[in-house]
Amino acid sequence: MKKIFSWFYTAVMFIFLYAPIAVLMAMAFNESQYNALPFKFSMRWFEALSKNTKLLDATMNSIYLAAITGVICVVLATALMLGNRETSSKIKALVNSTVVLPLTIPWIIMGLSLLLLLRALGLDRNFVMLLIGHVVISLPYAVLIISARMQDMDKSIEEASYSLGANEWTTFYRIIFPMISPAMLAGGFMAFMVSFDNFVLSYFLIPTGTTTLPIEIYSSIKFGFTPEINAISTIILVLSLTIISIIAAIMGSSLKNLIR
Amino acid sequence: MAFLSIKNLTKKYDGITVLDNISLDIEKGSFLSLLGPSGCGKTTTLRLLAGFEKCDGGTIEVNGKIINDIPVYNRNFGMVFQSYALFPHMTVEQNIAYGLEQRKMSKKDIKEEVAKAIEMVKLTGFEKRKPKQMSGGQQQRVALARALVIKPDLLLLDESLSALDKKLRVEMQVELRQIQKKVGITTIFVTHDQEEALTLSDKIAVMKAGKIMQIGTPEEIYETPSSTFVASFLGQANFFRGSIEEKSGDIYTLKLSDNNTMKFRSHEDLKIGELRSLTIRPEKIEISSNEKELSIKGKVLFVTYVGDTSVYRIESMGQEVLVKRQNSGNDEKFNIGDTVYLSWKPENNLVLDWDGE
Repeated sequence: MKKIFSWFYTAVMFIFLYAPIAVLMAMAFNESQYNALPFKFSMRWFEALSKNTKLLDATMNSIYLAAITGVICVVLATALMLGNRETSSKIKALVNSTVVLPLTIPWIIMGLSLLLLLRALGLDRNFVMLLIGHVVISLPYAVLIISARMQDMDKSIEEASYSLGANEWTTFYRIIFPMISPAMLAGGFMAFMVSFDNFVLSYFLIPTGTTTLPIEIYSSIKFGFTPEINAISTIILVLSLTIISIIAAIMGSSLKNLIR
Repeated sequence: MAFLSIKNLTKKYDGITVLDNISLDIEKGSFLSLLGPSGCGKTTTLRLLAGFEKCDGGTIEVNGKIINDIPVYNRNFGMVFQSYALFPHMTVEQNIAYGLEQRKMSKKDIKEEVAKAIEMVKLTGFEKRKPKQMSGGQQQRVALARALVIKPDLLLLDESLSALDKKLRVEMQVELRQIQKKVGITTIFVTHDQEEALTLSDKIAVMKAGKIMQIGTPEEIYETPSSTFVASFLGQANFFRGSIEEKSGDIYTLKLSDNNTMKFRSHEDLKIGELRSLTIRPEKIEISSNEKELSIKGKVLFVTYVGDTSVYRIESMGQEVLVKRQNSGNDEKFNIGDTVYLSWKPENNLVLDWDGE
């Protein structure tokens, strides 16, 4: 009885979490323009999507922005955490809490304050400020993942490298990098995802005339929603699931190699 | 001139002195142990020597050249860590080759040297293994091979055997000493294990609270400790603490804190009123049922049979006295409650300073 209940509970949880996504994906293959039933299989929305340059451009903009954000976050987080280990415990605590602080600041306030900053500087909304905003909100995720890995690392492994005659640079690319690269990959992907689906900050900071996918989806809800949105969402979901699986596989095997 | 010379080395962490003006000389090819309880500064000394940390005063000289400002990677010292610190993503071969690659040796030479090193530590057949696929003892040997293959000027061992179980540790001690003798490398070994220090070292430096208490051969340290700390840290010792009360010729009377008095013979010139600790090793005490000259009376509290020896706990002079006796098979036996007399040769009692504590 207890077992049946726990299975039931798990099933309900899964339906609750994944049913909306399943519906969204199914409707991408439905002929009806208004997501109406009965279900009739059709690829027409994917076809329409391939001609919808506005939506495709927005998607490319989002990928472009998220990719740059991901790379910047990984580099910053790695450098910061490497440097932070050498400092005193006071500075360490200060850096650790400051860097994750943006997690607690609502994005809407972050967006507003960056916009006000632009006004104060007398600048128009621009791509650099948009990127800065995305980096600020994504960085904590990259930092948390990368620093967790670094804390597990035995400092004497690095010291062994130095004692064998390797300088800082050699030690980094031959010893530290191979040990933290799975975390760098995971941290980078996490930052990518945070940036990719961020709407609030982009809405405040996006330069006039350009758009990102979340903004495009939002405005299409206001001005006539077509299942092309379902189609692009399906493609993105499949792509990101694939990437996650690949990363999990890489991390799994390299973690197995690292854990004694 | 000593090969390695440490002069007035001082190190502070957040204002707390952890190394206080340490000076130390080491001959080329010798094996020195830094022995002491945790927090005595022995590991700090090693880390300063390796170059992982900067000192706050003093100098480290190798062959008369000050090396304080030479970075770790240019010092050419081999180090074996307590955790072994093998590179987890590299095979045994790659781990050992790493140091040689930094020295820009040809691929062919590296291969030869690595093979030799693997043979020396008896790990032939394990070349392609990763560290986590090996036992603690094997990892330890990889770490040793990795440190030795670069032909370092100095080998530093940081509690390198303490992670192993007892049996393996004794085996590794013998192997380590054989390899060290064969290669002829100057070695500094940090340990808190007195037995290990006695077995391995040419010289031992006993440390306490950032200071070196005594340096000498294992025999010197054991037989003639300079303080009660050294005497109690290496092996066991009985201490009779009190003030010198009377002197007649070379016989002194010691008044213990609970007003017991005992007489002993010493060739040292002691002054009346001095606070001293009469120190005798358990195996130097003779036990007998007859009173002898200058013997002290006691009562057997407990006897422990340990195969080749018997250990007696005896109540005497208001304290517990430990006596160790070889079991030769035909000597007199004593039982709990027996009245006995303890005596020792005057050259076997040490009169050490006592701070009154």
